[in-house]
Amino acid sequence: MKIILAALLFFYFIPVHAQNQYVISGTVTDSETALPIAAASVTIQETGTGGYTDDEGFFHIHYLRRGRYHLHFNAFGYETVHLDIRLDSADLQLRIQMKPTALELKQIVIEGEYLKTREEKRSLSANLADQDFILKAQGNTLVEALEKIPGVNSINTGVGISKPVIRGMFGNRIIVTESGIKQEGQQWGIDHGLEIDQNEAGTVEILKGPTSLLYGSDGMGGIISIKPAGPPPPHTIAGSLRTFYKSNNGLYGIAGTVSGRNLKNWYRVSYSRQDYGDYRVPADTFTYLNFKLPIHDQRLKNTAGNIESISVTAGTLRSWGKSTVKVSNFRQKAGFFAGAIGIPGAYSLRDDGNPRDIALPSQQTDHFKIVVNNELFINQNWLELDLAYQNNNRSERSYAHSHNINQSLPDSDIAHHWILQTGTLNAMYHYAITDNLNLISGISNEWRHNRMSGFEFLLPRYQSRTHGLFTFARYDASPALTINGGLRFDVGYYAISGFSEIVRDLNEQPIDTIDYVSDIDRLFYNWSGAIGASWVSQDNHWNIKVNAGRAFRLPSIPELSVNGVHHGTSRHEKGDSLLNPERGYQLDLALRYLRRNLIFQLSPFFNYYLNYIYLRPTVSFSPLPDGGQIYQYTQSQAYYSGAEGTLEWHPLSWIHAETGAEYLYTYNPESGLPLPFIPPFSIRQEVELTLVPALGPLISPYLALAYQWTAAQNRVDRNEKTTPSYQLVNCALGSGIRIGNQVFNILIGVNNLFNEQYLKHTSRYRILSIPEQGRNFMISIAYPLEKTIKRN
Amino acid sequence: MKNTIYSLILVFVIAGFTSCKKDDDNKKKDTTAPVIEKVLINGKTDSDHIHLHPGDELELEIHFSDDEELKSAKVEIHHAGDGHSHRMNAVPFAYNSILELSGKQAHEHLDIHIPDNAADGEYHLTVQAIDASGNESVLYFAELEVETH
Repeated sequence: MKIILAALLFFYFIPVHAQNQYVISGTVTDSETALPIAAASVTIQETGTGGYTDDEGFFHIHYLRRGRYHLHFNAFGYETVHLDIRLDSADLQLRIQMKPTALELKQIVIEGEYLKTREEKRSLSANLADQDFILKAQGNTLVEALEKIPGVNSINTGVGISKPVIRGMFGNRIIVTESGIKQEGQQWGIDHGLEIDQNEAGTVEILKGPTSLLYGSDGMGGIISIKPAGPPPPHTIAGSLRTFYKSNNGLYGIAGTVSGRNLKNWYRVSYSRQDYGDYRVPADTFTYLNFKLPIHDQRLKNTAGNIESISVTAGTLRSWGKSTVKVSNFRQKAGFFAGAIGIPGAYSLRDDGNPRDIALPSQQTDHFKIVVNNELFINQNWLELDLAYQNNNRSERSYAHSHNINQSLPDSDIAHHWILQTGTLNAMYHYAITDNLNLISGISNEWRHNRMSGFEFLLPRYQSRTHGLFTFARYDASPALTINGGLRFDVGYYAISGFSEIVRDLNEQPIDTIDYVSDIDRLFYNWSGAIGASWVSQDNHWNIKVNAGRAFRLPSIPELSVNGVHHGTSRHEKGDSLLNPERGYQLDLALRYLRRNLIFQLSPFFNYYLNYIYLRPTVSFSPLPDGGQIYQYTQSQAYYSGAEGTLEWHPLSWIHAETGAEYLYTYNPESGLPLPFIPPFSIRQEVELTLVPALGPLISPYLALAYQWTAAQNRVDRNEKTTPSYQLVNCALGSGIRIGNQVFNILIGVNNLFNEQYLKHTSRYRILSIPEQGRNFMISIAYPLEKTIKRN
Repeated sequence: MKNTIYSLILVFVIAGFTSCKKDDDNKKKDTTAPVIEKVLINGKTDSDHIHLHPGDELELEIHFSDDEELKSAKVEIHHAGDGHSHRMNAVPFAYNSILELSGKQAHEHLDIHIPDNAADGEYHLTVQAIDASGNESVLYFAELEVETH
């Protein structure tokens, strides 16, 4: 932690002496008509400063230092333009041409997680979700909103708890970052959801494929990179308030944000809260083992919950760069359906008359974060310096019970309580050797400390540290061909504390000692890397990408040290303290065809893993009470292969039609069977019609219809159930409504329009044959406000 | 140029799906779970609320079958609690036994004595079998009610 303090001090003492101040100016025109584009936004990525073009398409940005910059040009109805420029000792004048497009996503800036450059120069394709996309998806969580993207799924535990899945990989096999900081929140747990509220996410970028190069361990399936909304325009106060309701589980929610900025300094405060009751399923009973158990009122008992999220951000934009501090807290409390963690007693399924209370068993998580992001101008190049502290406080409660005869009962209902603290320090220096050769060299460091308590042992106390060093290069071989590649080296150290429990009888006398795990000290070394290319045809219609990478994952603490019954599955899981890191060799291809009103993308991939860690049935029973078969963590090879495809088409400007499909094939050669929890083939079609540009008080009213067909999943692991196919239809109606001189946005939707009773293969409750939510009506009303203080 | 692109697309599509044929058909993996054919509790198959008293003898007769080879079974009885978090003076009775099985059919007899000081309440009787490949049977579950006179 001292290192973080030193880095902070270093940052604040960088000499800020006056440097020559230059101007970048120019004109922005339509590439087809040559007419000027007014109100196009021009932004310098590194400083966050910029402006808008005037009615003649003219812009100018002042007070700049000599050096390299990356510019974005954004305008409604045009493809964004990215430009790398170098300011020598003179002002710079630019002539920018923007290409018209009807495709919404081409109008948004997709910023590479590391390469701040346009899509066509990157060798791994990316998917993007902005606030508009997330809002229209009306998911219960951010992860569910992202499920619309082919290749992305979720493992959900009821409603409100969902973990992201990229190409069948989840938990420690994918990385989620917010503001560049890897989210650390016991993600090894299958019923541990992502602790980021969807109202906080400004833009989400999903990269599928090997991403260890940038973030080290865990970058095997891909990365979900969440960027909060940036600063508002200069001299404004902006805000919005949104209230929403969902009928299926009686969810009430509110989300509000206020932000303000003078010229250089800005702030944002956000708050959101959701409260929901037990969710409804289109079934009156469910079959549990050999019993038919009732579902009272078709509401699944104890699946209620609430989520509350608050954040405060302050930032500054200067000629030496930009700096932002964000403090946030996410809190979630949710009930577990009683049958999900052990055989329910009759009392725990009886209706208690209150569909909104959260009884036992339940889960509560508080995730607190302080993140400092800096982009600093050093030696005419840019240094990104990020520091963060995270505190994940997670407790699970269940009916106090003991495992041994004659043992006294615990006097609290807290089964597990873990507090994980994580400190992060990342630095990346962006520089160029020649105009065509751009590099990034960086270090990343993470320190973790976990404490535990509770009457059930699962995850021990531990400390860990990882340090990585990498260099990445982008070579513009020609206007058509870009080659990317990089190498990284990581060191990791785990110190796991052994744990024993003294079993006491009813008179508090010790009768036995159980040794769950002994001290484990491990040191790991790993190298990873990638090489790829992207070729673009001269008219920019065709883009072909190829990327080969090596990724790795350090074994997780549970994989090394677990020894006990996992109540969710009644398996007795045993760790192996000698496991080696997983290594993946991955090949990704991407084909893209782009026209003004059409985009087609196909991305097949082939992954081969060595030392793939999985639970192997040992064909023997656990002697422990409630313990089923013993499963041992072991290593093998694994194959993952598949493809995603999307087609977006605007046959007329007011019709948006989209089709997306995903397929995944997995194989474990040691068991001779597929891997578990793999999402099946699915195809989704959506049509959105903008009915009229304006009609009375209505502004751009639209109607959207979506149809999804999910195939059966018959390729399952041993002791995993197959899941039948199903179809879902969603529809939505939305519009802006002008009342006086304010504009409200209303969205009314129905998910699962036909109240289809379906099982989701990657639902934590699938094992109990409990269906997913039935028909769900939603309404959301947003009231945006923006007030300009002073025009410049 | 166009031909090159079309053939590249073809390569992509084929490449994306060739791995489907990688299935190892030679070894037919046993993924069929064993079955608990019948469980007789004191001679009765009716598993709806079996009433017992402390001091009783519980006689279990279990019939197992598997398509390949049975390996083991576990029989457990444990107290299910009654929703209260504190219990004084009572001794919840527990039973835990792992049986060795073999062959494609097996019949097991178990005589279980319920202790005289067994606490009242709801108990769960569970039986599960695994075969030689590690396939698990559906868990058999019955509720037992223990009451002192």
